[in-house]
Amino acid sequence: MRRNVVRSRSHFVFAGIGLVVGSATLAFFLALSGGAREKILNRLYPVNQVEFQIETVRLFGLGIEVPSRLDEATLAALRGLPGVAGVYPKQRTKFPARLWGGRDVLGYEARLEAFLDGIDPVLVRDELRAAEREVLGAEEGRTVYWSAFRDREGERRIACELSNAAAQTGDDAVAIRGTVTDGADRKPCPEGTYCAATNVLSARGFCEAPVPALVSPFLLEVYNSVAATAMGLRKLSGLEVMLGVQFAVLFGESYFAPDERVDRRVVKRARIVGFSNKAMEFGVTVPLPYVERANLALRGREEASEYTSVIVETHRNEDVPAIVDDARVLGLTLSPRSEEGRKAANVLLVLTIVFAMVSVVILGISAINITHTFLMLVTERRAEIAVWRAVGATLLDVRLLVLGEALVLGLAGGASGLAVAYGLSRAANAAASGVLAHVPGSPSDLFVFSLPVIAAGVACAVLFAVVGAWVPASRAARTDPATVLSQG
Amino acid sequence: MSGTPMVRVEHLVKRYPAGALPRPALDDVSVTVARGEFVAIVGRSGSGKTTLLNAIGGLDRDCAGVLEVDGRALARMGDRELARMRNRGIGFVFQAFHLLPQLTVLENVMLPASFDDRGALPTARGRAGDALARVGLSDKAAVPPTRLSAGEKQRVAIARAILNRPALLLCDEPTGNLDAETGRNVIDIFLELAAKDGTTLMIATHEGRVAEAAGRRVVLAAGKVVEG
Ligand SMILES: Nc1ncnc2c1ncn2[C@@H]1O[C@H](COP(=O)(O)OP(=O)(O)OP(=O)(O)O)[C@@H](O)[C@H]1O
Ligand SMILES: [Mg+2]
Repeated sequence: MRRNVVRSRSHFVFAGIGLVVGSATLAFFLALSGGAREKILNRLYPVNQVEFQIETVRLFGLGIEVPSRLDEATLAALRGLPGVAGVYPKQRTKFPARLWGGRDVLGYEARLEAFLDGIDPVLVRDELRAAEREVLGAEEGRTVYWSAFRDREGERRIACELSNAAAQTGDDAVAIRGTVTDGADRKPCPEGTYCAATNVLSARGFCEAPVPALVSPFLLEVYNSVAATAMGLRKLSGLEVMLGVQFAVLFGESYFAPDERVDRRVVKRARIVGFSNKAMEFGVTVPLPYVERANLALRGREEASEYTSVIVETHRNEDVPAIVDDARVLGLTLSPRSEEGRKAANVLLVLTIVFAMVSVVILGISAINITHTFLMLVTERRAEIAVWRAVGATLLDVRLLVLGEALVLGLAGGASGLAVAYGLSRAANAAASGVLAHVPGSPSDLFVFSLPVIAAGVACAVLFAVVGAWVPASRAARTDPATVLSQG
Repeated sequence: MSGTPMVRVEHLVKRYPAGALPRPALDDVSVTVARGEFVAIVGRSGSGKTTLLNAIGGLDRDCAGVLEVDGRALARMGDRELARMRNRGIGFVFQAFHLLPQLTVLENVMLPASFDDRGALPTARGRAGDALARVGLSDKAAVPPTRLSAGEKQRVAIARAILNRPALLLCDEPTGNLDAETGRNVIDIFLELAAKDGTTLMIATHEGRVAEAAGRRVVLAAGKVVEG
């Protein structure tokens, strides 16, 4: 067997080239598709999470009861749906706010209208930790940011006062920390906290840790490619420069909208502790309780108990469609982002199928090539096959011997194809790295050569080699030993 | 020895596809060969010697009539059974040797073991060595058959045929490509096999000296047995 392969090496190399090309194409595109799914799509749009919001088009007159609110009752109904693993409501601030800060990293003080989104910290915990580890390395011996993303307001209530109410809008770090009024020794608020006054008119309040905030990596990208260029400002090198950046938010005051009553306006200090694709793109994302409290204070109980959207986590990916249907009955529809994710996944699926089909066509052509080569080899080796039969080979033995050679050819072709695909993927990564270098959070390796991809590459090559050798194997089994052996 | 003959052929008719011959290649042939017998099958070229041996060995199954080897009717055997019989019970030797050029001499001799479903491969090397010793070619084991003389090639083919110690050896003009001296050498090997192992021999031949060595002659003419 081994010698047979060696003897007809040139034929085999020729017949195997198609297998190599076909399985290389297949493995390359499957790995790329896997990479796109795992490293881009699933990070942007997690597969087992969907976000719902209230359906804006009401189904009047259809006899279907549509709740007008996404509140605790709706959340409870969602929690009761089969397949639901977790329900995470989100709430936006429902009042105007503005923010300023960032001089340390931007080189000037940014002033922006503030849009705040509140999310359940549990939803992003693992992701924040992983993202931080990726840009800053192991956690030992450095400041850890992600763990601060939680509700910290109730942690310790220490009464404090500022030198005057105006100090809270300034940027003097010492003035902002204020003085503790509980004890007699007039210390400043504890390290890492500031004195948060009850409103802009008051100088009295409690020592608080800054509001932990997340930003979207997309924001940095937009800043670098649009704002920094247009305004001649410094570009930010990477996501890590944003970590720890402090800014102030003034609840109830706007650059655009009418302001709230003065006694309801509050200044809070905030600090960026992470970045996430789940964070609002143009705005700041904070733990949900901060938003709920602020909405309660400025807009009342009714507004504070209504959520903007809800993320539903499912046990299995297959549960998603049924849950989308059930949620529709509750008056909920997919958020634009989730809808976008589904479309992107569909596009990726279609592209994967198209390229897989191209590979299958290449493999099909190589199978035809193998049929021709093997027919020739079987004819050339009629005498040998007749001898096998004379010394006791069954028809099945003859078939299997021929198919076995095809199997070896398929394995070799598939393995070489994988090697070629892997080499090409390295080259593609190198070529892409130039383009992707300034896109924050973009993966350095676009490919995932998972076990199924490797198995598919080899299995398809083997399958098509064996299919191609099928007819020649039957022809070999039909060799008439009597005729062949009695010839000289 | 049991009473059943080694080979029983009765009213065997073999007809090649129309156009080749007006008459059957084998026309109502009946031959019985006892165990341990050495039979020479003689006749002019085209008389049907090769056709008869191929039918007995089951290489050609497309014949009519009774065909029994070792008491078993070939017509009732499936492909697997027939292959097993060729593997263990029958050895073939051809005029053109039919050794596989990409294998060594020893590997050629071992070839039947790769189709032996008794798990015979582990002992095959030793048995192949013995078989080569019997034909006097122990020193050529590692050589490719292309480097052997015609007589040596035929001896290797005999060693391959006797690897599994078959009860029946079917030889089609085994000396046809050999000179007188080497031919005699090969005949001596056959005689020794018959004497020592009790192997039944059926040898188709043109040559008088092979026929003389045999205990009995079956003469064919135009597909019919005319003597024997
Ligand atoms: N494959 C075949 N197709 C058609 N006719 C065949 C075939 N093989 C043999 N024959 C014919 O059958 C007859 C018997 O042939 P066979 O080969 O058995 O003769 P033979 O006695 O072995 O002759 P030789 O001494 O020349 O080997 C011949 O007339 C031959 O032409
Ligand atoms: Mg002949």
